Amino acid sequence: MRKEKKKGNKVGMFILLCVGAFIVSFAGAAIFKVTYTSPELKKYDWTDEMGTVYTDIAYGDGEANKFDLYVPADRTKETYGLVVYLHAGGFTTGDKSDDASMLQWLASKGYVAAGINYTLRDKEHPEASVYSQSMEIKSSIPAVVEEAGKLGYNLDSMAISGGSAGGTLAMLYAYRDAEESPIPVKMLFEAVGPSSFYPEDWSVYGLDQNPEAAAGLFSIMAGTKITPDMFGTEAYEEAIKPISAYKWVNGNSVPTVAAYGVYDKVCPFDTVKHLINALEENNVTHEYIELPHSGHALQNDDALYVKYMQTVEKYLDTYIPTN
Amino acid sequence: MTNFLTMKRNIILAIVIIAGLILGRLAVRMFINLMVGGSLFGGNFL
Repeated sequence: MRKEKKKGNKVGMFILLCVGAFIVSFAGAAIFKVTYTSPELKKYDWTDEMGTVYTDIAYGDGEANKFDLYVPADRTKETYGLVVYLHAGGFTTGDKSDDASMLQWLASKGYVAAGINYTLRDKEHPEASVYSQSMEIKSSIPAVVEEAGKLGYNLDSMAISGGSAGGTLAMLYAYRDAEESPIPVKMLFEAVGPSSFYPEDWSVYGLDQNPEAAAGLFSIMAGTKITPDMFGTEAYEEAIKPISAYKWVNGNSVPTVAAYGVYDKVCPFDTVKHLINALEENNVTHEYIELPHSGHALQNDDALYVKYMQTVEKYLDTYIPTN
Repeated sequence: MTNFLTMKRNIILAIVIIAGLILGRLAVRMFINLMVGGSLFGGNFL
């Protein structure tokens, strides 16, 4: 009887041990997955010796019309390259400070880096659209160049870049507005930014089945009235062109690095083909990196994300060398 | 202690720990996929 009780205690203890071991290993693996960053992406720790950050410099009358400038510590060069990185947030949220680590990395490489805010579409700004945001970005670049000059950094060329909504705005500047840029635009890099707006490609939102909803959403984005009967007509092509970056791609478009996730349900993956086809048909130098297991955060293909950043670095070294 | 952790129990414990490691990682991935869109079980499973 006593022996059986002792055996029962041992079994109970072992079960407890198993439960404890499961909890610890489950939590440990979860924490590791959340916090681990590939060593390939950990290249530096930002210090004040690497450069200086100037924040909230105004470029327009709007409350959001401000940019941050990250300048490298080395002030000895005659000219510098500018890299603009535009923040994500679905055109309705986000801030330039979200990209501090990206901007620091760019400044650490010797570039003048700028994060630019734009008027977000929200309750206070119901008139804001992708189009108005793209025009704000266009108006900000001369101010960025001028401010950098005042600080002693003469800019002679630039790259523009961004993620998601920022990717869309970067593409619009690079493909639509580059000819009017105060300094030559040399390249673009972006990830998961929508560049086309056709209801059939936006099925993840059900817009392929609901022309009224598609017209409503695309009207807001374009900042112009779009009606359901316009889809498939030349009138729609004209109305949507100002915010459809792929439509502005031509033989003179700048070298491009782009990355998209096949399972993206925010920037529908079906929209990507228009951009890639346009780049290929116009023989634009480009690198398209497709992440086959990832969604909007490019979260499940670490090796390919590393490849994206390495390609960005290679393009920067080639088209805006810092030496 | 030797009597307590028999070979059989060691194997069970190892299986439980491996299952915890896999499920913990998968749980985070599922959560992130649900939040931002992505394949739950396609391709590189872990």
